Amino acid sequence: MHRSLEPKHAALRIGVYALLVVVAAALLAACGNDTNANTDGTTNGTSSPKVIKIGSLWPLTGPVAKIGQECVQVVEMAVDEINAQGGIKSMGGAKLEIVSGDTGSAPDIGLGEARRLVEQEKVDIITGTYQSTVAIPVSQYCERARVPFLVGIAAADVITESGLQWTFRTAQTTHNYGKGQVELAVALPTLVEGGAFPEVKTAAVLWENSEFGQAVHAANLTYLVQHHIEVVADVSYDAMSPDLTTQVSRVKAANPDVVLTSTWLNDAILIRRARAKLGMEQPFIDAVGGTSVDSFGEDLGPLADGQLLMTDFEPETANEAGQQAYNDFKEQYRGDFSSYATAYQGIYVIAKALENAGSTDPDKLQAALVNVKLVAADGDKIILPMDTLQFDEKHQLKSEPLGVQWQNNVMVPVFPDAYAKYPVLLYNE
Amino acid sequence: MKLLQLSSHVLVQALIDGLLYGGLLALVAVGVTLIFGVMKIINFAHGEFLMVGMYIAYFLVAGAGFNPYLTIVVTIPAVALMGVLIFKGTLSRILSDPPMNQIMLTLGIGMILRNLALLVFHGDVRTIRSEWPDAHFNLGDAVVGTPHVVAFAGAVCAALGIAYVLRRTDIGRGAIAAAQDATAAALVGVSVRRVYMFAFALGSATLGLAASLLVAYQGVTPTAGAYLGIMAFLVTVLGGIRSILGCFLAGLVIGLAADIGAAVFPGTLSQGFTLCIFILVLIFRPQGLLSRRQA
Repeated sequence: MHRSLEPKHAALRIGVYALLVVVAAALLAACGNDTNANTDGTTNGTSSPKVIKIGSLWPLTGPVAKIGQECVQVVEMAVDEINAQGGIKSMGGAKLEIVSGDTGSAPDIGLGEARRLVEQEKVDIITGTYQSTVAIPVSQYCERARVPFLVGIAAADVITESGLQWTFRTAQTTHNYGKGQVELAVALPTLVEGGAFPEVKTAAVLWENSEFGQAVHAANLTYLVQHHIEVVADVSYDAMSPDLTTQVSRVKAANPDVVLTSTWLNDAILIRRARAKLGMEQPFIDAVGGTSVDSFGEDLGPLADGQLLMTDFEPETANEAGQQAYNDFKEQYRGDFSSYATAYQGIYVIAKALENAGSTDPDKLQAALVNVKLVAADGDKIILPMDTLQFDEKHQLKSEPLGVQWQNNVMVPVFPDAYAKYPVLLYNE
Repeated sequence: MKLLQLSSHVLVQALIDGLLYGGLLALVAVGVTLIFGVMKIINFAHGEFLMVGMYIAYFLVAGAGFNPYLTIVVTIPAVALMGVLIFKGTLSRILSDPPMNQIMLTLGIGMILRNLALLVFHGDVRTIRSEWPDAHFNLGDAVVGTPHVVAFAGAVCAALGIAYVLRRTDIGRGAIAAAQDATAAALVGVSVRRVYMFAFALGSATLGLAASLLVAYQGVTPTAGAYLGIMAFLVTVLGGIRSILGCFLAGLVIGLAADIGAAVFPGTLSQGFTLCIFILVLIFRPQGLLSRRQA
């Protein structure tokens, strides 16, 4: 009896110590927060800052470094425009300044950079990231640090589905792309020239097996069921695979009416090549993936023609402001603006929220973002295909993706009706 | 369940694709097998050597208008030379160090090469503009990619060539002797260091060949070699670490497993199939497909 009590005592003692440490840490943390809040409050109370720092987090090194650098260019272009037009007027013409961080495509590096931007650079708001895997830890950090985070490109549903108060997103959700693919498939009979396409009754889904592909696939299945379309083949693959002929031949054997895919670039090219080799005639509808990149058309040439996909922005149907931004970016940086339109729009959303808040006080800025509303008719800059721009209750931009098709080696808008300038063409092998 | 229905067309297509893919895997793995068999060093930069070769081949095709297959006259010596320089500059200095040091060194070389490629070429996928990537012919209902067949033939030639060199040339026999017992080989006059360098160069040269064959139908990225590099280790282990024939058979097994898995199983299960085969072989034949159990 006596002996058996001893370890218990020891355990109890350790428990008490541990509790003390936790309480002390919590107290320290609370004090830290308080002092932060106080200093912030006083600076804001005395005078408006002349410069508003926007942290920008993109992958500047690593496999998508080039994309990350173009993201920075897009964001800087927007900031330059806003500054040239007099900055944030409600704050005495305060100028915006980009403070750049490099996520290196890695969640831990991205998180470290977010920390640096907030704690050392004292940015007022953060925008980024390209990858969802990076956006997730950054969004959680911003929630704790009470710094608004505006997601410009990362598309994973979970980012705005987990009820975070400080995270906002101008990019589409993966779910939306997956939904758009099915809606485009259903509308094909009305979109194809001459009504030569029969009602879609069966579909195949072909998806790369990372988080992105899985999310698109899940949305595909949900909406296919809703539209009573039978899934006759469900094939996934590793995006690094050097060949996908077997996978595509499996899709072909199931003889679906349409094929829905989610891809990165290399696999998108392999699928397109396999489709041609196997002589498939069905239309392939991709989520925003590899088929949306310029090099898809450059590498495949005429083989790219016929590919359908979902996207956020398309210059031909874009409003005047959108076309202007598209052309400016092409002229200044020679890049493709379309892939980064949501990041560019994000800066204008931030500017509008700052204008409304009249302050960089985190709580006021957060509230201003929740209620932000851009109206094109009132002179607010909206480049995405919509007349008013607002977040929903989850802080997610309310929008629908556009359907485009590669025709004569360029992407042209085909869906939905309001933006469909071209009929869908069937390129039968 | 319509999802699980298996059409014979698909199975035939999978068999052909799997076989051809397997040959390519064997070609990439044969260098690992050779280098490990002789030197007991695993070159973790193997995939990156392949990637460098692919960039060389790509730029010869895109910049100088080479036929992709003609690039072998440059890629084979270039990658072999890279192997020699890396061997002389780094590996040869730590041959008697603990294996962990050697692993760290080759891992590090791989990372440096991959990130250098990222720095210089970015992550873009580069594909040659040529009729080769789309060249194909029909075999019954199946479609066979011509460059895939060429790659397979190249793999067979490489394996036969290496087997010939090992059996019939002095330096090859020296390599086998050094592999069996380096000290004894040195005592009978084999220059072990020279034999090691030769093995490393020959192993690297196979990657130069693989690079040219791959560029004919594959895009090049800084990570292009990483995936095949990992698969090559799988193949090497499966084949029994020092058998060229075993390595080739193992390549075919892994290739077939990958494609049949993709043809038969739904969703992501298909990718697990290859690894299941791999684990089963490890359990029942831990010494590899062809090797005899070591005493």
